[in-house]
Amino acid sequence: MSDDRLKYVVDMANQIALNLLHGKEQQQCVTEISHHINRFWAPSMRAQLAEAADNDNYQLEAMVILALKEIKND
Amino acid sequence: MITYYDPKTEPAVNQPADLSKDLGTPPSKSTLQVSVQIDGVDIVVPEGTSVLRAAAIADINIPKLCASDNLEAFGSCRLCAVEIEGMRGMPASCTTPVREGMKVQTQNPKIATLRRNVMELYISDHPLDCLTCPANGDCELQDMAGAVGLREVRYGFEGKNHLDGATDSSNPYFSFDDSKCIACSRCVRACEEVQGTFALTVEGRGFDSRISTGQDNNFIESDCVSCGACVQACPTATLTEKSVIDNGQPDHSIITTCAYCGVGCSFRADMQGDKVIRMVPDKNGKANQGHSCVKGRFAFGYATHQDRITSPMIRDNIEQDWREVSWEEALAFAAKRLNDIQDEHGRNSIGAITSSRCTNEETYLVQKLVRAVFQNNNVDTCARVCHSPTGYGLKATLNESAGTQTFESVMQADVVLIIGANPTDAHPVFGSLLKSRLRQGAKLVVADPRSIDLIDSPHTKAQHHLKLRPGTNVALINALAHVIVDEGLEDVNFIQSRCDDASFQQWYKHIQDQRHSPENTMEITGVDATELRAAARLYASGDNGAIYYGLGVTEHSQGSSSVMAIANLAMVTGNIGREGVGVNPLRGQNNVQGSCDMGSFPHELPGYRHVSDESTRNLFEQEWDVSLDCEPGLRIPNMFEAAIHGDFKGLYCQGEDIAQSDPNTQHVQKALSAMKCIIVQDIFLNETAKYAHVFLPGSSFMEKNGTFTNAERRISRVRKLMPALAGMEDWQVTVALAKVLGYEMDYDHPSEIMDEIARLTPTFAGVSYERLEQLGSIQWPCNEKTPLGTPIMHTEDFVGEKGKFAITEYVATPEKANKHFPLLLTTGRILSQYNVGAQTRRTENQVWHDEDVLEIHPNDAEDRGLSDGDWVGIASRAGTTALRALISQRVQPGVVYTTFHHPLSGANVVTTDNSDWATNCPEYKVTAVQATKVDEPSKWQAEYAQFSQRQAKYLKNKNGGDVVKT
Repeated sequence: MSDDRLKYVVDMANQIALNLLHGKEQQQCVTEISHHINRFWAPSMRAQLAEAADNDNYQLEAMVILALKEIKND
Repeated sequence: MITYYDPKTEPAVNQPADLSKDLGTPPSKSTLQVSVQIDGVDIVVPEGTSVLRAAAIADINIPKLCASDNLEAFGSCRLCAVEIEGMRGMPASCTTPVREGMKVQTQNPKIATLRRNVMELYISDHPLDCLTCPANGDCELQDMAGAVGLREVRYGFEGKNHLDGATDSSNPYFSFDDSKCIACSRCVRACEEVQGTFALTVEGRGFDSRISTGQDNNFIESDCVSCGACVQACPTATLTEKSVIDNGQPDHSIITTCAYCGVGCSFRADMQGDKVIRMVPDKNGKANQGHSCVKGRFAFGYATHQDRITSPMIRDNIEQDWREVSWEEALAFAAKRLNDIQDEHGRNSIGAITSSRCTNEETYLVQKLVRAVFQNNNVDTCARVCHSPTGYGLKATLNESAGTQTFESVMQADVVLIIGANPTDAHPVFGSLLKSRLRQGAKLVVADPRSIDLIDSPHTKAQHHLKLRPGTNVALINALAHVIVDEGLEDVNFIQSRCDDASFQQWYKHIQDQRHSPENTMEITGVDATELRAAARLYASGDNGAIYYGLGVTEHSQGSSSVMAIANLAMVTGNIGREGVGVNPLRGQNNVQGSCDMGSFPHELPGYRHVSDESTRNLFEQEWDVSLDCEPGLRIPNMFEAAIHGDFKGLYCQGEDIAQSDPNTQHVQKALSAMKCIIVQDIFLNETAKYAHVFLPGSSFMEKNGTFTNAERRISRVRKLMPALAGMEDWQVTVALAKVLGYEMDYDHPSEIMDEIARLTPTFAGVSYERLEQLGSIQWPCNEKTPLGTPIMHTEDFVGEKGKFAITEYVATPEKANKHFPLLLTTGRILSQYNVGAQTRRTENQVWHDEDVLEIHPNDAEDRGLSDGDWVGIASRAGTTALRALISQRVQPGVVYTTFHHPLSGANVVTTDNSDWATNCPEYKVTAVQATKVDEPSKWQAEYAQFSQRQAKYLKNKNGGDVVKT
């Protein structure tokens, strides 16, 4: 798995979080992020996000890290 | 007593046979009824109806020349004179309104003599060359001469006349023969009232009155936009289509739907055998109401252009000659490659892209092929790169992924807010309708970084032009909402009764924050706070406020947020659910709405139902006899990423040109080059086909049956005008491909595909070809509850739910200008060209725009030593290209603008991979660039020109090239 590929999904996830984190309680924000990713991302991309989360080279937004628990990864 | 029926005002049921009859003057909108007697026939019509129209409705046809029912009465020709009991003289029936008890006589010897005398004067100054005249058989002057019984011209043809008038042939599509002009001014009035351009005028007085293109010498150099309204209005051969002059009069006509923009104009294709002679806008077309633009009206020649490829072709790799093969061989080759890829790389290694240029039925079949045969959900559509944020944003707020109104609704609007759209260029027929409403007094606010024509057009001026910085839409719309809330302009009743309270309270608290105030967002948007406040007040306080938006909203890193912010704005002011208001996305291509409706997105089945929904999936599984994947597939940009990294190897691309239209061209090229099998189905060897291994020849909209759905959700028939040049219609090709892949799709006609769509999709449940024939067109939802369709959405609720306010915080795009890339490039469209130009570049429209140019502000040009026409290199973080400079005040300092209609322009070499956070819709509208004077094309342009030359050679060798392994 190349770094570019993981960076691509990390950037996407972080962008989602930046747009969803305003004006809401933390849990609502986390739920909205995970719901969005579960609803619109292919499983392969969700798997890459999980892989990136395990890799120190990628900086995931705090809300994305919290949302990971609710993001499907099969 | 005649039972009054006016086709313009009655519902479209039980229609009379001839709806195309010209009733002479426009309908009256009065609800008061008036009884009159015409030639002894009693008739009841609305107050304000002209005598001419009332008579025509009663099938009493009064001769006329200067009158037409799409133009206000003018009363100049005097041919429609009548006698009215109690009135002196013989008034013109076109300018005389009926009144209660009026008794009209349209025929008697005295009237007949007057009409003959009038006609005699016309004919005394008109060439008597009827037998060789191009309008022979389609000339109102000729018809009227016959109708009044003109038998002689007593004045002779000597003396002063206009018979030596010159012919202006400068326009590529029509000519103006001054010698045949009767100065009725219908063309002038059509240009004013229908098109709203005011390019024509009557010059001189009395005998010297002539039609003129303003101060210009000829049509091509004038303000004329070649919409064709004047040609249609002309009652003689003065303004005639060159195709009619060249070919003669058509012998039959077929009604169909235009294949250009999202207005979806209805056209009457006038034919000789299989040949289209001209396209005339259908006056009964509900989207266009008899109007057209230069593309739909005239630019149809591409369909039979010599570049059309009509035989299937295959090759092993893209640096190999094409080989023309049979359909069977091409489909077998494609199927084997797809099967081999899935065997080697897995089920998810292939996918497809549907096209908004194709019909609903074709698009439906492609997504069915992917889901049922490829057994994955890797299907996406070109709406990904234009209006996917509309689908997301409107579903999230209004609970339906579609615009809320009819186009006609704008005629009830009091304030129109246009955000990031350029209707007069990109949706010209709607642009004309809008201008018509503005001339009646509606107010206009435009939010756009660039000055569009609507801001300052003849007789229309925008009250406010909010000239924002590219990429700051959300900040601007939030500021508008803040003012509305801050100044108590919200519609409390609407919010309480129609909207979800929890989401409103959360949003209300959010938007009240002072950071959203115009004063605090001024630094971000560059828009003066006072002007913005005034614009917000205007929108909120007008009785009917309507919002229209385009790609200037969606093609941003916050495209979806902008759409939701627009929905917030409409809901907080109660501007939803009736005529004259609403949220109106102006869709780019002809069938963007339809391709999305048909389940082209990787997460949704037809009707916008998520693939994870078991009950929906079960419906399709039973109908298709397969099991379906419950997980979303890859979007187009995700496909490219996966291709580059070796996971995505095969693509079936129908009717789209992703190599030219998608952003960061070099990235796209890398992805396409990495695939093992690209199947392109198109009418031309487009840019994507240069990377293809299989070419399946497509059929133009003239060669097939089907339906398009326009931006109003209006489903209209596309009717076959001629046999498919390649022998198969596009839907048949998909069916055949499915068959060789081992799956039977059993249809004999596209109507059967629509029947299947209706069975499976609640919003389409009442749609069928039979009903389309009855009604002309249908706006979905169409089902048991709304059998005639739904012109206005959300009149009572938001699809069974409350409207939801969405929090839309402004988040700056990561694409920032800096000292290396100090300018912001934004891209758009121009009137004469369409999308990637594949169609319009193969027409005479090239005379208006044969290359893309870079608009640059005079200050920025001066800083760089640039003059008009200089080559300018445009470098971004993604790539470099070169275009000629056009110095223009339309753009603000620091902003440059171009179009993407020509492949070698490489506009998308410069655009980046940045995209909308929710949908991955590319951020075409904001790219940081540097512009410098250069004297040669960029490296990419030089290399791509060489690549294209090689591909042209491979095509040329298609009948004797390299051996292909099959």
